[in-house]
Amino acid sequence: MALIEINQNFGESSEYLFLFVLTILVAWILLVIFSYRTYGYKKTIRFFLPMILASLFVESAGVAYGRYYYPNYLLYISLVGGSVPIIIAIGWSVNLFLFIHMGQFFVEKFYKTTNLLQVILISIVGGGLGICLDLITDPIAHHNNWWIWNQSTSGISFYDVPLTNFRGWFIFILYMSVLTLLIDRSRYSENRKLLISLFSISIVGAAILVTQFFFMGSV
Amino acid sequence: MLLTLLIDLIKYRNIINYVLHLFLLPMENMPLILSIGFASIFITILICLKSKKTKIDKTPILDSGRVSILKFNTNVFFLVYLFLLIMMCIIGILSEFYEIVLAGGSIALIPLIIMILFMYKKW
Repeated sequence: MALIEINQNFGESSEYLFLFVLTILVAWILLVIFSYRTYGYKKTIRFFLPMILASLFVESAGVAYGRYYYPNYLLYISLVGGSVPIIIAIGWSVNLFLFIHMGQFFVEKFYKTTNLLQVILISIVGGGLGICLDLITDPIAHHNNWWIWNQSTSGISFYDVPLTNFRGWFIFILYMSVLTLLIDRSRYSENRKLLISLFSISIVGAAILVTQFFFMGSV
Repeated sequence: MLLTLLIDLIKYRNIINYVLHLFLLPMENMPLILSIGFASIFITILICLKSKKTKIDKTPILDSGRVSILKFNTNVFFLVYLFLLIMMCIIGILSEFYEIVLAGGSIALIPLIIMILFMYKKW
């Protein structure tokens, strides 16, 4: 299986896939421009790239394990056996950036002290916000064949989307938010933070999540 | 249990094959991934140990996202979330999946309502 694959039948049997891809791209471009203007390019890379890499690992493992698959996209990357559309990874980076900031917006109203507890609270709220948005996104995606959950997936489901999916969303956003915020608030120089983010979050984080996926049966 | 593990190890010839079997994945890219993974862990530890910590007066805090559009104060994250929600609702309506637009849409709307309350109401 090649590392990068190009599908020439983009959107063939999926409804409104182009609209979905366009939505993700517009949101991503808006947030990247905002981040670049506010934080500069190093912090922007630190917020977006590690999540893209980590999600490629996690999603690739999910596809390889046979829980779901992504038909009809244009460009795929296969890291650990399962092909994942690049736009999905970009979507995850939108989620992380958006929910970390929204999480901070809410938590700041009640808890202003910048310490580890605040990092955890922001991440928990961020994970919760992720579930809120996913409650509409995932069923519509399944309905329009943007991604397909295999029928063998057991357990309780919400409009054919297994509940373990929402738990997976929560854990993934929580975990990546904690790491991103801890590195952001560490006392290393900006260059070091960037290096640590790229080397640690994407690889170590994904490895832990992939392990969690297999031994806990979720994500 | 140890005996089973030993039998499995013999069956899969070596520890690497056994670990790969545990993960049940098609492993074409695994040697590449594993080498990148180990190199990354090593480099991360090295960077953390070798780096000097800089003195910072204030912990970096994320931007609040406050923007002004046509003299109307709002929040950029609120707008992006709203955009994503509206697009999902439009797609849901176009694909005639009204139930989820109502059920999922109303739950997804809750954070926005709370945000509006926080933004415009002085407590």
